[in-house]
Amino acid sequence: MMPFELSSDLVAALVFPGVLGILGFLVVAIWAERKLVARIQWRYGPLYVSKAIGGFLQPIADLVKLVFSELVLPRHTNRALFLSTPLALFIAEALPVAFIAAAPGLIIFYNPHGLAIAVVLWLLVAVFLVGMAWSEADKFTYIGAMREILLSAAYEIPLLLSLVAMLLLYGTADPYRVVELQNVWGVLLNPLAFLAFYISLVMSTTRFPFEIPEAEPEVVLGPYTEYGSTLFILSFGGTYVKLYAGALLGSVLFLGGWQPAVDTLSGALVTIAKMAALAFPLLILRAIYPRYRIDQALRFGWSKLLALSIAAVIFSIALRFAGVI
Amino acid sequence: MIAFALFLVLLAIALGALVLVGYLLAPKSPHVAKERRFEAGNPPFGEVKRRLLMQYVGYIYMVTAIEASAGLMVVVALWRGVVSLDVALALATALALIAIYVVRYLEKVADVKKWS
Repeated sequence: MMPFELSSDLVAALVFPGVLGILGFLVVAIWAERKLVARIQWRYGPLYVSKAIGGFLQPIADLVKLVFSELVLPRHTNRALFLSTPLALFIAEALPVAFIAAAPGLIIFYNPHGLAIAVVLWLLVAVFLVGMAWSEADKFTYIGAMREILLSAAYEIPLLLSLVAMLLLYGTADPYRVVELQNVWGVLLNPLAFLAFYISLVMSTTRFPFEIPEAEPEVVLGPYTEYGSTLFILSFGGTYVKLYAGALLGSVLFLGGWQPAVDTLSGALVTIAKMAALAFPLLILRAIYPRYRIDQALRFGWSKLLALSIAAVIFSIALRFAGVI
Repeated sequence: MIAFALFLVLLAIALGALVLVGYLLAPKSPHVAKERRFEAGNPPFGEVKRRLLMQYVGYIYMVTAIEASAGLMVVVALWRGVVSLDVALALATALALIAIYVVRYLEKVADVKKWS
């Protein structure tokens, strides 16, 4: 039973959670990050462009500046790969969005195992990032790529196990059924799984305590070092797209998706509010935490975080046998 | 399916157009120094090579061993939608094995002093 019309999935592809949503999130997230971090550090943040609305147009101004800066293709790289890998990376980071429902009928590609597919696609992003860093052929990008591989070795297992914990509770990965089943939100049913998922989200989007691959004081910008101009937008902007996909997945898995709304429009608004609630705390982490070393992040991922996610799966099994869900 | 194709194509066109517009509009003044490999302001020297500590290979080994079993658990969780006793036991055994394996070797792998 799927409330499908031909037009609603096209709306999903074009507007939300599709292309416009992704590009809009880029602008809002970059602005919000700069503003929130500035607030914590007792600064004003961007104000020069459009002072009346709190410098909201600053990301647009940055975009225009980057479009008009020279596109340099280094001589030592394979030019076709150098040009195409950021594009592939951006699209790979947006792909999980296609399999998650943002409201009744608002899904780009329905599949009864959609959420599991979305997580697998999310884990594959690191492959594209490493490919991009390799095609740049630079010492800093090499170190960045190694750190990205190792960081994904730290969060992949806990992320998968937190997914297993929730799938055991729901018994399905259908993007609609999962939301319908959440009379009690997933975060309340299994808080351990939510915590493991959320920390894995911080790691996979390389937000602050784990901002190791692109650590500016150490490796310039890690895997993004060689890029400038518009290619920089595609490569570095992609991390925000990953955050967008992760927040959408988190709101569907743990925060009851579009509930309590029932129709498409209000459902989409509820989902946006929940995504913001998940994504904004990640944006201010930059002002709160210092940076781990890669070996500390690995040890953390394989000790506390792994234990947390194993406990989450056990807790889910116990809940099923206790007949709670 | 149409929507999915449209999503991918539109995204690719939007991103490609951004790069193309930038390429056409931005000034071009190529210089040999700009097109060199980035080396923090110095002329590039040596090969793109770094040492990889053996310590980290241990983590890669653990992740290749355990990720496949975690993937299998996703399949088991989706199998029939019900958690029967044998499924629960199998999951618990797998998790216990992972825990034992990690507890046994993590201390050795994570000890930086031993490896550097």
